[in-house]
Amino acid sequence: MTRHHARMTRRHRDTADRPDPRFVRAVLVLYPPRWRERYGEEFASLLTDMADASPRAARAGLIADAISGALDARRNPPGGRTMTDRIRRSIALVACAVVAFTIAGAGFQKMTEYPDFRAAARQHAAIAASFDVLRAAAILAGIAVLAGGLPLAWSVIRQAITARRPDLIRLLLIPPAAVIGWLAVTVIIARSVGHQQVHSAANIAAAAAIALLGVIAAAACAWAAAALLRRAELTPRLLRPQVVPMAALSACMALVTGADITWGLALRTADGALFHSDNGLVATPLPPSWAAGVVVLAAATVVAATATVRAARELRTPAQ
Amino acid sequence: MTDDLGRWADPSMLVLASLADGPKHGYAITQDVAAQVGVQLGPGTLYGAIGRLEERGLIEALPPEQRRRPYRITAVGERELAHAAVRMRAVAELGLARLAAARATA
Repeated sequence: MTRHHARMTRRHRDTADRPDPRFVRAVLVLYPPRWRERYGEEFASLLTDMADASPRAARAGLIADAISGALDARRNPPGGRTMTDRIRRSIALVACAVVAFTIAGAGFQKMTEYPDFRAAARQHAAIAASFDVLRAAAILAGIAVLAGGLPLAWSVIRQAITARRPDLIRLLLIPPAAVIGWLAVTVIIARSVGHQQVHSAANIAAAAAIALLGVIAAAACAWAAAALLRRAELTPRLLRPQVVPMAALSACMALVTGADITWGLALRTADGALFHSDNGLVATPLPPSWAAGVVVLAAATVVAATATVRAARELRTPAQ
Repeated sequence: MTDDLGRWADPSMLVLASLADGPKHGYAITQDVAAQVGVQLGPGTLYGAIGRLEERGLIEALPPEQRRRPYRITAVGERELAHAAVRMRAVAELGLARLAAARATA
């Protein structure tokens, strides 16, 4: 055997045995949990590849570097969020805001379905105009939600199926299950109560139960959307354009809120008796129901607009 | 931007320079840097740099390929790399010119 051949054989023997996976895991344990969650798998793959390609004598240096990296990661824990993580968080906040906004909007729709309000709108231009603006802005907001949400939903559905992610599939099933469940319970409650007086105790209890269950279902939808955004693999290329529908949505939400405020003020001026009637939610006085709706709409709008501005800033300037 | 990366500035610059010609995963970055510059980035050093660069929006992760995840330089990262490279070239040219002048007069 020549000297060269012997050296090559020794080198092959040194590099042929891959590092023990338990050892790689032991090194990984030194890193903070959040760091491991984000980089653990690819880091383990890199460490294995590098150790595999290095002579045994050089592995000590790799291990020392990995341990040094772990100490650094513990001393200076990453802000925890990358740019795309922060955009995901902004989108999740907007999704939660949309859910709250939808509840408040549904409350307004329910509150104003009585013929008295339609008659007031026919008689007073300001009330009619605010109604029209509110409806148009709500429709545009719905389109913005679809424009932003459908590409994300499609990406998550495709990923859940192709990557066989049962966690994503479970989360995807929550919103339709929550909505269908709520509708089913609503039908059951409505049938069991039957035709009661609006202000009867049974009717009020039924309406309160339906509203409460609706809030719970909406909260489940918001939680599922936020969890999906956190867990799914969403590329920056997919996340970045979301800022456009988010901005459009925020503008529409502001319009709806403004129109709701205008509607209430116009109604108070034009028809004080109707404004102060017991036509609020669950047959309560209207002013508190209207004011509560305005507060929820305004709060949701502020949350959505703030999240949109933050997401837009992420695209323009890197975090310091 | 790269100034606030502290002792990680050099690995960060190496990673940015490596990604300037296309996305790469961690192992490919170490191979590229070793081949082009002769610097062997360890796994801890590399991921320290990747974490900081990603957090600052200078690079971004692409969907994983098996257990490896490629990274891509962002537009902001390209600007930062170009800015830092021009500055480094100015320092290198100044140093070389003054060394040459000092040798000529010695």
